[in-house]
Amino acid sequence: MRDKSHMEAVERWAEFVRTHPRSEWKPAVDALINATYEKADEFYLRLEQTEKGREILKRLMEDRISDIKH
Amino acid sequence: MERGVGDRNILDAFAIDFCKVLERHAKYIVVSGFVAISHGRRRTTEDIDTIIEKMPFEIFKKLHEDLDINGFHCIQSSKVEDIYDYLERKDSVRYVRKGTVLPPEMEIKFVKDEIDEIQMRTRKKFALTGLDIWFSSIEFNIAFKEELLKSPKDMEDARHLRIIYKDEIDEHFINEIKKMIRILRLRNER
Repeated sequence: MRDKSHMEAVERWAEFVRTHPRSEWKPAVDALINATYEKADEFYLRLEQTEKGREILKRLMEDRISDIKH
Repeated sequence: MERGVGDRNILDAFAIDFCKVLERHAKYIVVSGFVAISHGRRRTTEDIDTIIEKMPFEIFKKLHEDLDINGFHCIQSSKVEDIYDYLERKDSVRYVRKGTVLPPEMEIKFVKDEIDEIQMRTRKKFALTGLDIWFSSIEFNIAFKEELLKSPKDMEDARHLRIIYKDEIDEHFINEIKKMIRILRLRNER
């Protein structure tokens, strides 16, 4: 359960977005989204480098596809 | 591979590339999390939810082939007949960039009821997002998040959108949508 301070942070940020030009808030959003994906990509690339990692990767992929199909 | 370019992050680039193809074959709307994220909400998502108009198999086949040519593949199946079956059964299908089964992914569903039809009729493009993409209206997104989805993440998305559009939101319309959600969606779930 998230506490009240979490929603307050959401509200403060939304107010900033509302009152500032896109050029001031968009880079922060882009950095967060890109960094999240890049970190995940790096992790999967690391897994690919070892046999054990490749097994884990195979399990993750199978699990993911199976989840989507059912 | 450089996935986010210039003013476009990874999700923006994925959505733009996908919707460019979609636009050639179907009326569509992007709904839910990506609407809030495109309006500056500081979070990310693995899937972009999209609703498309119902279409005959032959038209869908052309859409699927165009997606294939433009570097997207469906995770559930490569057979277009199977993919169309998913949609006909009111399930979603998921497309990702070729060469991976990893996100971001586009989750697509057919219009399923009167609420979706109204969402489609009242779709909008939002200058603030800087994206040439059709979205469902802010009122629809707020109503779904507050009345149906209700997770902390969804409630925060709704709050974010309420603040961004605080002088423009049609509260009466939100309440009407919530009524429809209770009748058409929540009643069916009980």
